[in-house]
Amino acid sequence: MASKTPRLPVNGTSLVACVTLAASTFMLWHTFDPAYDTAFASAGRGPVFFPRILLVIMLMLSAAVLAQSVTRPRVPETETAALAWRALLSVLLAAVATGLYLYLIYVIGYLLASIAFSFVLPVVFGYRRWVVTATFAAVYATATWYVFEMIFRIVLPKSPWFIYF
Amino acid sequence: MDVALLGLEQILTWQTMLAVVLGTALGVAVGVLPGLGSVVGITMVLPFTLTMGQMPAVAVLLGIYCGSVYGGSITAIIINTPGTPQAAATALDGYPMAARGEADLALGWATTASLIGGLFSVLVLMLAAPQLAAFSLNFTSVEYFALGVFALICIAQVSQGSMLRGLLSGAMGMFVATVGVDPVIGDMRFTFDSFALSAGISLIPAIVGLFALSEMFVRIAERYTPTVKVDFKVGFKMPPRSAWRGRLVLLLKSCLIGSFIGALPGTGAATSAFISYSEAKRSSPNRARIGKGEPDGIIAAESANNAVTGSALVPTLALGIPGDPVTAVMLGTLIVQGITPGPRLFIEHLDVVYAIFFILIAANVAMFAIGAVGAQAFTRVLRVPESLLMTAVVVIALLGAYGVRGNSLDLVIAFAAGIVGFVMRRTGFPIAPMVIGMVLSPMIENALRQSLMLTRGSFWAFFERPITLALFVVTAAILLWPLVRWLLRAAKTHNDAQDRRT
Amino acid sequence: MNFRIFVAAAVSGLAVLGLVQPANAFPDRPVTMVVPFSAGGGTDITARTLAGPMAEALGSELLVKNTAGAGGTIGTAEVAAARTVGYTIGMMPVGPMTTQPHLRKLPYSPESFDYICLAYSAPSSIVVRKDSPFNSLADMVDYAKANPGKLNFGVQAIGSIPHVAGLGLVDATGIDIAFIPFKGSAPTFKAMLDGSVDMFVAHISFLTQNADQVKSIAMLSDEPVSTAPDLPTAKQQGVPLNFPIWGGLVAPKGIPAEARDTLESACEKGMNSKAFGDRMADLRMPVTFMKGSDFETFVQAEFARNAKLLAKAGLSN
Repeated sequence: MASKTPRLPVNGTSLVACVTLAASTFMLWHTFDPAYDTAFASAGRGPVFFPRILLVIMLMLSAAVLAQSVTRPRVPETETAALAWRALLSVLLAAVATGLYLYLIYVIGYLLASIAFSFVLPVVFGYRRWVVTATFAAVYATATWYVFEMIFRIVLPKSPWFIYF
Repeated sequence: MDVALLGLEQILTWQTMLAVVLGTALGVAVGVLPGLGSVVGITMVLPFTLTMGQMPAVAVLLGIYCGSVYGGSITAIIINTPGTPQAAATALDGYPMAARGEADLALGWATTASLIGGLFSVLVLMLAAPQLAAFSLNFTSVEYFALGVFALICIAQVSQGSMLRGLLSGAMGMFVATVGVDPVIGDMRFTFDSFALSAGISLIPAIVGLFALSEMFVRIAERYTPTVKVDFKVGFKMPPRSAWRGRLVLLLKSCLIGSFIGALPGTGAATSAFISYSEAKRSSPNRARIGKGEPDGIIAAESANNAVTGSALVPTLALGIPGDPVTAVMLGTLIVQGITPGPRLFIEHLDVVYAIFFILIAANVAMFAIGAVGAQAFTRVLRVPESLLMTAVVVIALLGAYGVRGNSLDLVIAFAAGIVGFVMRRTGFPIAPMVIGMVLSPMIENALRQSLMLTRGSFWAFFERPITLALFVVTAAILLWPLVRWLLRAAKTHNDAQDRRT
Repeated sequence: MNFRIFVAAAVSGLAVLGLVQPANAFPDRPVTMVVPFSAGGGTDITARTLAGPMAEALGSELLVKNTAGAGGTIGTAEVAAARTVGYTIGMMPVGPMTTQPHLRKLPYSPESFDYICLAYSAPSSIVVRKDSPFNSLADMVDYAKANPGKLNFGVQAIGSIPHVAGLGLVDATGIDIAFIPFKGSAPTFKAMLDGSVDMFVAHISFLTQNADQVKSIAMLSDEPVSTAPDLPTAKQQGVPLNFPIWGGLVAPKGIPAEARDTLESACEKGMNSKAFGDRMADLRMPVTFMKGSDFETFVQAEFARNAKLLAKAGLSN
């Protein structure tokens, strides 16, 4: 896949491997926390017995992936084309919108938050037919709310202003 | 034969037939919706099952059961988001096939394979339930551990092409699943004193994030990259009979795997689909294409997960051990009417058992019909503008993630998993191994630590059990075979080179 | 357009949306009943069976909300932290109320709640396989004394009531048995059928439902059980053990007394309804109602007793 867009300055795979390496080292260190010593142990195997095995494996695999991506940096890069900064910005925007949406569900309730989010996300996607987007947002959010709350009987978070949503 | 007729008579009422159809339709619906599964279906019908007659109640529950296992595959194929964990393996080949415009055919393969898998397992239930139930009692915690380790091979099989990254992804999935309450002794692990996190990182929100949310991020990222316009075919296309040639062995093998795993309570349809998929990837003649939209992948996953439905009733009916909430509620419904599960059920209440067989057959047929008709609508979804489609998917997927446990932590997990999934996909880490890791980790850890408690801490006692030993040997053989083959080939080239030199 | 009609329409529209709230007596809107486990389980089914007739008595909708996770503690904490207006109540079973708080730090304790009523209380029983050589508590205890550390006792979860009951048994008889935890009752039952464990503690309805494959060696209740009078209790066999599996309705501490009273009487009416009675009869469970004040005393006693047993086993935090 040939792409004209500029490549990221760092190799993504090695970056991910560094993160997992650091995370598994930290977690492994954490398993020696005295809090786990006092825990009720069974047949000599406490709560961190199994995770410790997994963490050692993760540590070794992270190191191996890192070594591979440093020595043969082109191998993983063939699978993905690097992203333009504009695309990265859109992803960031979508992530912020989603995070905000999840937060708002608890503040203004599912229905209102979903109407707002269903309107915003298509815009982030670059969709510019406002009437369609607005109609979609209102109808879709209400329909999902109705199906869950009224048919599936799953109680959803509500706003402080209304009884039903 | 008279008993069979008696059983048939019990279900040939309009109430029961209606219950089968409505139950299956509801099952497909909750299966299709990402995050939601059979449990939501039960929540809906529970108030009615308590008052409706026995057979209609059983019919509606079995309909939900079969429908939901199948329904998950539709979303897996159309939008690369398995509607239920059981369908995660289906996405691996179903989505690539749909992405090149053949969603109609992919649904055809999935629906047909589901039907055959489902019917096969009814046959197993009819012919061998008491024997299979007795055999399943040979599987103690030690054997479950060995089976779990055997199932880990899937991680390696699915990771072919990016082996190290796939294995790392699998190990991460296994680790993440250990966060929260220690399943064996109830202590907190890796929660860093956060009460919310004590609920653990559960599978469904993780799947919703890894698949649905990351798909949204990926598509947003690619919106500046010019893409080839794909002509999405709409509708439902039965695979031609000629296409089945050379795939029947695979189908039979997948049905057997699914039926066998299903009879072991607590293993589940997701595990069976992955084991079957990995077996297809190991031995199918088309294995080189599996993972790129090859029907074999769909057949293996879908026939195996639907083959679980019938055989999961083996421990439920013959031992009184339900493997999941649906079978538990169904068992409760039968018991209320004075039917005691156990080996004697198959002698004393054979008419009821036959009635259940016929209900299952009807539910599978209804499932096929609903799938074939519904495909018209499902495939049309692909023609909705991408931005609206992805928004709709994200909203419903997050809603589903919340709905499973009604727990706000699950939304945070889905979000985090979405970002992790996006980063992994951009850097060439496969996602499926992570899901497999999350599915298998609790099973393996539970079984391992229970086994150690039962053997009073001795690992050697594991090897004294024949089934366990056999499973370990097979696992080792499959893992070592590529190495052996490579060594043999290396030795041969070396010899050839020497021959040439001399 | 006629202005008055517009205003009337707007007001009724808003009233439908619930924006204009008439100052009615409790309850003037749906009450949510939190169940701390997933749909389809025992607690959930009982809650849903009660919710129907109870809503009728309340004259308002009663929604069941499942908040599952961490042994029921997530849902229990949700109720403890809910607004103290009486519109969020919880069907809280014995585990999250009286054993989990001893096992780890939780954002609630029995003091965090106002008590509405006890909704169910089923006796438990020590069960063994039907073909087991043990026919009484004494058979088992004698064997355990002759073979210390040999017997395996399956538990549905560490710190659950069946486990605490097992600890009570060990405490009372001084036997040495190994507790093997499984995940829920189905896997525990399977482990007994495949021979991994020798016994476990189960709910009475389990016993009647699986009468073909299991038998009781002791009912863990002080009085003989009305729905199974011929089964000997542990007390009759000289070991007083009383471990009912119960659940009841609670609300966050500090709800208006009027709301609590309304809920209590609705609970009583609901439990006396035919629908609820039939369902309990199906499960071979006696209908056991308790007023809020009695329920509170009962919970405190259970809480203290379980604290002692868990501490003795070295399980408390």
